Amino acid sequence: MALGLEAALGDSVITTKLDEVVNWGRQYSLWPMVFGTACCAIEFMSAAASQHDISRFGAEVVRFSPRQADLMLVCGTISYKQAPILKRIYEQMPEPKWVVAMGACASSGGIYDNYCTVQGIHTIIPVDVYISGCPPRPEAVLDALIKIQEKIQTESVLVDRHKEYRGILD
Amino acid sequence: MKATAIEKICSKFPGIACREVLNYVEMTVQPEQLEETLSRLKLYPELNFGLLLDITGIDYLEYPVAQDCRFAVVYTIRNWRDNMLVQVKVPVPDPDKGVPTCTHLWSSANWAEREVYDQYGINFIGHPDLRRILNHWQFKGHPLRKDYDIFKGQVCYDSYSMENEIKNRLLANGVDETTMKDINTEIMFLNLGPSHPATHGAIRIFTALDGESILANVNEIGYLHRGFEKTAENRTYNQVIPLTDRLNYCSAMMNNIAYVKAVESWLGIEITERCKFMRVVMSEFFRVQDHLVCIAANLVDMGGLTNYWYLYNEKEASYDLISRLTGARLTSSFTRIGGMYRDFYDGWEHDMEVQLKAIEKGVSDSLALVLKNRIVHDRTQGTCKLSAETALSYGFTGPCLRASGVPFDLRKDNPYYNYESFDFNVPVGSTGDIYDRIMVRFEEIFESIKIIRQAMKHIPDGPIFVKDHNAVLPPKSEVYNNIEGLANHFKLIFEGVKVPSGEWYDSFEAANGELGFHFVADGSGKPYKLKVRPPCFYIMGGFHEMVEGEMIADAVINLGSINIIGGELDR
Amino acid sequence: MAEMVKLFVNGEEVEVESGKNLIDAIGAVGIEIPHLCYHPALGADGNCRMCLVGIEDGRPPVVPACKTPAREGMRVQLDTDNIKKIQRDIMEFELINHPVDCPICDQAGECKLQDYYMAHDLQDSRMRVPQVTKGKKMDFGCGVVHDQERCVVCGRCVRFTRQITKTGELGIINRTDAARVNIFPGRPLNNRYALNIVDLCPVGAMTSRDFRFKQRVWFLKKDKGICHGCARGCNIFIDHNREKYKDDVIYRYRPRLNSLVNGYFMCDEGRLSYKEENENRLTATMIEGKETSFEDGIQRIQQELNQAKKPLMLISPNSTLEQQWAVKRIATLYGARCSGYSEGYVKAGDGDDFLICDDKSANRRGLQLLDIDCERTTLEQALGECDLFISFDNDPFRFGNNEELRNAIAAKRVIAISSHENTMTEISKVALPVASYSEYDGTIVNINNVLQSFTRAVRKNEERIDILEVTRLLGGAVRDNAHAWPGMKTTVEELAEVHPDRIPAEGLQLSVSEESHVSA
Repeated sequence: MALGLEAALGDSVITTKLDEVVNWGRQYSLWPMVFGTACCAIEFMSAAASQHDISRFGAEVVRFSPRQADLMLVCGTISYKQAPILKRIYEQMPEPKWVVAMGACASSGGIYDNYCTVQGIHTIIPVDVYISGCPPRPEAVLDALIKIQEKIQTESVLVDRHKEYRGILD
Repeated sequence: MKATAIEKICSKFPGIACREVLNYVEMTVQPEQLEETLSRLKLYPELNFGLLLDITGIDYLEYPVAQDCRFAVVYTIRNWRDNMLVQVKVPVPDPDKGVPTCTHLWSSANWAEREVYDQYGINFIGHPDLRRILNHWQFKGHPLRKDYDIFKGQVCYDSYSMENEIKNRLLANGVDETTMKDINTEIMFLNLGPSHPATHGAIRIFTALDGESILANVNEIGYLHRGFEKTAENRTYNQVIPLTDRLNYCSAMMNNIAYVKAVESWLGIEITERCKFMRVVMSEFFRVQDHLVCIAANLVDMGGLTNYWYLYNEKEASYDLISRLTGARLTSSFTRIGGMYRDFYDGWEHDMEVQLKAIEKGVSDSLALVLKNRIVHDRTQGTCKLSAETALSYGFTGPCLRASGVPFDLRKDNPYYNYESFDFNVPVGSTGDIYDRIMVRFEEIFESIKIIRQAMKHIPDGPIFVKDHNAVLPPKSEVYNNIEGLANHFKLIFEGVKVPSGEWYDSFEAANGELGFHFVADGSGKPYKLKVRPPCFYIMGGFHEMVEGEMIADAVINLGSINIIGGELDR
Repeated sequence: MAEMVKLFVNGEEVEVESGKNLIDAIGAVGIEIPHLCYHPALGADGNCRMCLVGIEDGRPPVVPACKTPAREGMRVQLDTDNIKKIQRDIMEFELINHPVDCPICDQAGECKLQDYYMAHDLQDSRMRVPQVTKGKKMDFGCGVVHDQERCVVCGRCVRFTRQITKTGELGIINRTDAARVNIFPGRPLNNRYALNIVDLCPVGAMTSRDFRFKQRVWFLKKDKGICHGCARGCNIFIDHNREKYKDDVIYRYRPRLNSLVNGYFMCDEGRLSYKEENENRLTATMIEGKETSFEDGIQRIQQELNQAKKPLMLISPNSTLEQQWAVKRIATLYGARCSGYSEGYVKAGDGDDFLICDDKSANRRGLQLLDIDCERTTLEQALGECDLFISFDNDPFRFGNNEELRNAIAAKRVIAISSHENTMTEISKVALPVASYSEYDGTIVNINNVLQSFTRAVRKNEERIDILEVTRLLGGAVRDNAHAWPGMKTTVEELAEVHPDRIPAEGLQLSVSEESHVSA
């Protein structure tokens, strides 16, 4: 039933675009790196537990080494003391990488508007998805994961992401 | 006991102003008499104040009542054997000159004085290592001073190298430069950095290893410093409650209860019986939750992943009960001054019983794997021992102190909320190694379940709220329908509950130890100063005592056994 | 100093001024007696009965404190059960028909009923019948909006229009529980002090249309300031707030008590002059129509001054004494003529006999004290021969466009150092933004020779420096406000005895000299 080249190759071969195949692989096997500092990390642990299973989405291989991960979940408040470490860990992750800011503190500083809290990690590293909540429910984390997957679907293999980003630590 | 406490103390200190506040003694001394007073408090056998709970500073710049000096330092010290508490307040005329240190008397003063220096800029003469502990090393200024603008953030561009500190520590442990350079004892510096799965939070453990043994260890904290104290100065008393939630976020409601108990004790509000029982049930329930997480994480570090599923799933299941009761899974903000947010829902006893049975089953399953397990025994028994004297000197409280053999529990020694009528035991360890700490927590889970069952049987009916229009919001039917209720609601919300001015300290037995709150009130609806006495801050201060001489793998499971929660450690 | 007498309040002895009524006398030592209808400027009415206090062994035993003069040996009781019950009952009466309006009422946060409820009432409501409805959102004119349901019929507004402005627009019509405050049909409020009624009203019955629903009172920072709307220099509270991610905005002015200058009130034009502080500000440095940085602007002005042979500096009558002095000094440094010509600031015939002055500038007396020439002829003569014209926040075209003068000035090289966008900034080659009066400290002298000092209130996100700083950056010798005083004290006779850090809060009456009788 196929046309053209596919007819010649037979049923066991499908043709597709390179972008689609690569993105399909990337979205359904995201390896999260949990940069968990505070209460949101506990909620992420719940998301990874059996009731709100995160491995349904292919992301149960939680890696604590940035070199083996591609999705960084910043769970918790980032203080100015922690900021250079966050930046360094982000830079250690190989491309392609995505960042999710989980919780109110990571998105905007949360309830801590003061001298020691970074008012949103977008000032330090580029962020793809923000999850609101204090802490957000595990279902919200899964929703964010789905949004990242949808985002990955629309990307191109050739384009470098976030190369022109400049934050306060640059 | 209380009546003679003030007499006992005052008789040993003629000429020093002593007065009784709540149920403890407060002394004001001049800087010249400070060393003498503190030594006497520690060393005189009749006084024997061996547990330095907290040191904090106060900045009186904007206080309505004029004081002699702008700064003061307050020492909170406890005699755990006779249940006596004393606060020593000393005015500081010149913060750059400061006051003499007391690290030679109590080791917990080391980190406590560092924190006062960091936040207030008060120097401590003779301190071995006075540098910043909560704010980053590039920070300029002292944030808790009243003239520091709360919104002024300072960016840190680099992490701190800690080279000097580790070298000094090595020197203190008998390893000098020549040994370090000798090829046969080549020291390797290993950093278990702030982002590490084993640290369960953001703590930096910097070790100097010889092979696998730790020769020296220095720790850096403050990566989750969120400015709780300065933020609390800009909130009304009820608005601070969500901030307290996020201190020890594994047992969030215990912090709420501890905070509200402290405010109510000063306001003189006697909460209703039903409210007392409700608070007991919820705090014991959250104690169980905290211990479940601690043990689960600790056993995962040892490699026993199955225990994580057995224990953590029970915690996850109990979120159903908690979210039904409070509306939120983790950070509940459930208490209010004078009562709770709302009463129990119908059918809660049944749900609670189901949870308790599930927890008992989960814990029993886990214990069956752990109790007689050879690997667990080898790894945890005899490692990272801490003697009772060292533990007391470092300001340990709670399960870690009890594991070292000191039978001190605020619920038994200084009871509140009818704890004296509950029938429960306090498990006490013998050697203070990791095994004791884990087992004490297991036993405490069972004891807490006992208390909850007893409370559920005896909980009386009645109102949850005290009828006091000065502190408690009127019910919504009043607020929406008549002007008195609305005006009352308005004033209580935007001005806050007006607390009479003064200073006081109140404490509570939280899951990790003694959670204390030291308040300075100026008569308005916002606290002038609010200091949290965090139990795991002092436990972390004694961490290096436990791991030096052990192996690096032991350090990892030791960190899990002392239950460090970042929110409480760094506030 | 009035004679002091000793009396007893709640058993404790206090010393108060004799002759004053008990509310003022005991209030002066810090003990508040609750009251609704009494106002020190309007006298006692005695209709609210909230100030009833007990006099031990007195005849009568319970007296209204507003009508009772303080006498030696009086034993005043404020906290007996009897008095507390009276206060609770009166509050209950006041609240019976009071609408449940707190969420939409501007007065929340400064409402006497809310405050006295928490301090003296704390009872539950016993109302089981519907409340009486009355008129709401009634437009009384002059920006005053009346709400009859919230009114406690204290009569302060009526007494104000009768005694203070003597216009009598308001009255209480009908009797007993049908009593309402109202205007005569077709005769709304029509005087220049009407918005003071909003301050006087203890509840939210009189609200200002201008401030309505703009901001909640407990978010406002209430800093002290002085109105620069005219030469009276009424003392005000500058109520401002900075919301997160926004700039510091002034929401209203309220009058502050100063018995030497303005009493308890201020005029409506001055009250609404806060809008000028917020709007129309010059924000960017402009050189020949292009926006540049502040440093470039200063540099350019420095260049121009160095090149000019006969510069002319125009000093503003709105600047503080220190700023005027600093400009005068820098004029001698650069060999410039100075003038304080500001006829544009005077609206002849506009003043009245209460607070409003003809002269709409705040510190013309300062120009006179510092001997700065303000004549038009001098200006025109200097203008003829000058090659650089610098205006230090003086806009000669403020109340009218004088075409001739405008063209004469525009023909020269013009530098405008200004806080607002005005005609001067339009015709200038270089425009430099500076701070306006709510953003700097200083001292000014009013039309009656009263020296007053004020401190800065508003801190904008982008801070502007004031004129004194600008002169310092241009090489002037005066470093800051304190540094200006020694020079001023030696040069100006009236200021010789003044201690700049010890100017009393009420202001200092300078000695009256011949010049003050000459109107500006």
